[in-house]
Parts: sequence; C-alpha cells; structure tokens
Amino acid sequence: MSTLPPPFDRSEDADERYRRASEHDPSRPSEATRRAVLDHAARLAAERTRRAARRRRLMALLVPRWRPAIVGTLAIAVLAGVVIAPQFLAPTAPSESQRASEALPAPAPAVNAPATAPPAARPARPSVARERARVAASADHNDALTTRQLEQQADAGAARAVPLEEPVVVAGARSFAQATAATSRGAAGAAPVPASPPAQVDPDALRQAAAAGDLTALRAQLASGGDIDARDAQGRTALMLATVGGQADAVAVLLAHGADPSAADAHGTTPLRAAVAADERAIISMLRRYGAR
Amino acid sequence: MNDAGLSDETLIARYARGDAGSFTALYRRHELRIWRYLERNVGSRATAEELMQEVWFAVARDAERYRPSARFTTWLFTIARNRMVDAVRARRAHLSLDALGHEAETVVERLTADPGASPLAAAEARDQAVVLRQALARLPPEQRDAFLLQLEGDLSVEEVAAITGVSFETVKSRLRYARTRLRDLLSAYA
Repeated sequence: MSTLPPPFDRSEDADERYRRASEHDPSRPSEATRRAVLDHAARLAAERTRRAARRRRLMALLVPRWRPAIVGTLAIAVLAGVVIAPQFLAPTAPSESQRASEALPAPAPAVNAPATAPPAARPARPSVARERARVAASADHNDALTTRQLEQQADAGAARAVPLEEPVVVAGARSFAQATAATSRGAAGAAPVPASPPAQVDPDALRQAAAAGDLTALRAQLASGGDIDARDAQGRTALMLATVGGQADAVAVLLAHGADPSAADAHGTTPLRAAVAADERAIISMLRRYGAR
Repeated sequence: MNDAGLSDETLIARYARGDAGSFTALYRRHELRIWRYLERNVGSRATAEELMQEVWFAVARDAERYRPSARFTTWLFTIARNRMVDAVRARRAHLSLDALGHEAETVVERLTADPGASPLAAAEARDQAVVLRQALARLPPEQRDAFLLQLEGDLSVEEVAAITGVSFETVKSRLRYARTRLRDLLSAYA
C-alpha cells in the first residue's frame, strides 16, 4: 500500500497553500499602470460614444437601406406609367363617366356595353357633364356659386363610383365602360350599339406593370382577364418579374389573383428561388404562404 | 451606478457601448488575478507592468468584438496568455527563474535541497509570498502556466486546455505535477 495520500488531496492542499500564501503577497500593479489602463479605456469609451452619436446623426441624414429600392421602384413606375399610361386609363375614368351619367338627363343603361370604350369618345365626356351642370345652373338663373355646387354634386356622384378595393376596380372599370357607351349613345342620339367582345389582357403590359410595381396598371390588366401566368421569351411570368423587381405589393396582388407561385422560368428558376437569391424576405414569406416550391 | 451586481459579460457589453465606468468595475474586479498570473509567470515586475497595460489595452480595444459565447474570464486570460507568450518570444526571455535573480534561487535551492532545513529557510525568507513566487518559479513553465490559469483565472481543465492549445489529459497531467511539486515546496515553510 502506498504511504502517499491520494493525489486529489495533495492537489487540494497545494491549492489551499497557494491561496494562503497569495494573501500575504502585497504585490500589485503600480498606480501609474492602473491609471494608464483606466485613462486609455475612458478615452476609447468617449471615442465610441462620439462615434455612435455621429453614426446616429448620419443615419438620420442618410436614407435607410430600403429607401433606394423604393425610389428606384417609384422611378420605374413613373417611367412605366408614362410609357404605358394610355392603355390604362380605365381605372381613373369612372369618375368622369359617372359625372356624365349623373349630369345627363336620362342615360340609357347599357347592359352589354364593352369593357373599354373607344379612346376617341373619352375627351367629350367630362365637358358634357360639366356643360350640363352649367346649363342647368344658368337655366335656373343661378349665380356662379350655384354652378359650382352643381359641378360639385356631379363630382360627388362620380366620387361614389370611384373604386377603392380590388373587386370594386373591376366593377368601376365596367361601369365606366357602360357609362361611356351610354354617354356616347346619348350624345349621338343613337340606338344602343351591340356589345363588342371584352378587351384582352396584354401580357406584356401585365408583366411590365408587375415588374414596375404599378398596382393600378396591374389591377387593370388583371380585371381584363387573360392568362395571369403568361410568359415572356425567357419563360418569366408576371409573378417572377415582380419578385425579381422586389415588388412585394405586386407579388401580393398576383398571388391573390391566382398566379402560379411555382411557375419556373426557362432556366428552371422559380419565384421562390429568385426571392431567396435576392433576400426578399417579405416576398419569400408570401410565396411560401401560397405553397411555392 | 452600482456595477457590483452585474456580470462580467454585462459590464464588457456596456463598456463596448461607451460606458467607461463599466470598464473600471471590470478592471478592479480582475486586476489582481491578471497581475498575479502575469507577474508569477514572467517573474519580473517591470515586464508584468508592461504586459498588464498591453492586456487591458487589448481588452478595451477589442471590447466590441467580445461575444459572450465564452466566459469573460476565459477571454481575458486568453488575451493575457497570448500577450505574455508574444512578449516572451519577442524578448527571448524565459518564463522561469531567469528574472528572479541569484538570491531568490538560493532560497529555493535551500528549500528543496534539505527538507529538514525548510522551516528555518522559510523563516529566513520572512515572506511567504516571496517563497511562493520562488516555488512557482521552480515549476516548468507549462505546469506553472496551467496552474496559474486555473487558480487565478478560476478556469476549468477544459478551459485551460482550450486556452493553451493542448489536450484535456495533458492539462490534467500538468496540473497534477504542478500541485505535487508546489505542495512539497510550500509545505517546507508552512
């Protein structure tokens, strides 16, 4: 049997002896060293505080990270609006048509009127409505205020017909078409014309609106019917272009209208993969909610 | 503000955000432990003073990079050890007896050469602390380093192994030898 105590006890003993001896050790770093360390640390802390304040001020001045994306999107949207606006006047027209329909004595309803009216008929409608209001005012010998009131009434009637939500846009567009047809007929004093076939969706315009995030144009195109998943030469759908363009709102509208969330382009890239590659988290989340692969 | 109840990790995080008082609290909390680790390893007060500044300057500078995945003390002693190793390499110094001088070695030689004379030798030394440092200086650098890391840094064997870059078993062995040797040296005058 060994006469040595177990190693563990010996170790404990050494630790205890070390600690006891350390208590008697007066050695300390000099005050100069302590002061140098603390002064240096205080200087760095002050520097950090100043730097943080500068950063906060800079951040307040500089645009947030997402701001350039929004500015770029708006610029694209404006550009796209200028280029393709003539094709998408329908959503803004109902108020005009409504003015005309309210101001005219008895516009005949056109149940089967075309969804969009010939562009040539549009400029006449607001002037007709306002003219009617003015005529009514002058006939009653009203003053200018009364004329304005009548115009406001016409405008108020139109405002009631202004579309606010997606389904209403469709209704608004159609009522505009109906009212336009009725106004045209009323102005010409002609009998109701036979309904023409509804305008077809322009796939290019749909994709352009999606890519630009132009929701007004996008909704107008969707309201016109047609293939929401129509592809361009590279096999990209409107959803893919909206995804690549980071247009989360356009993606939401397209998905809500039944766009295929997994429609891959010619290279096999799906919108989800494109969104992941671009780190578009909001779009990723939406696509996943719609079962995108 | 009272920083006494705050953890090391909280203090260093607050310092990283610019609160100088947190650093002062941290420094005061760990000053003596780092000092003993450095001085007892290098055996030179002047070198230890330099290293002390370097270590704490590095802590202040790198506070923003500290991540609480490791304990603050582990991080602190890692910095201390790295600085010490660099300094020793740069100055081609030795970690052990060289800086202690002839007289100190004589005391230790007497302590270890004749156990029967140890109490008297210790009395002659008149200072347990001096004998302690001299006893530590008798240890091989690796054993002393491991022992001081564990005792002053309050580090586990795993943490010492991680800091020194050797295996768990190697650290255990170094600690065991260091303790055995120290017990013998210190018991001579205890």
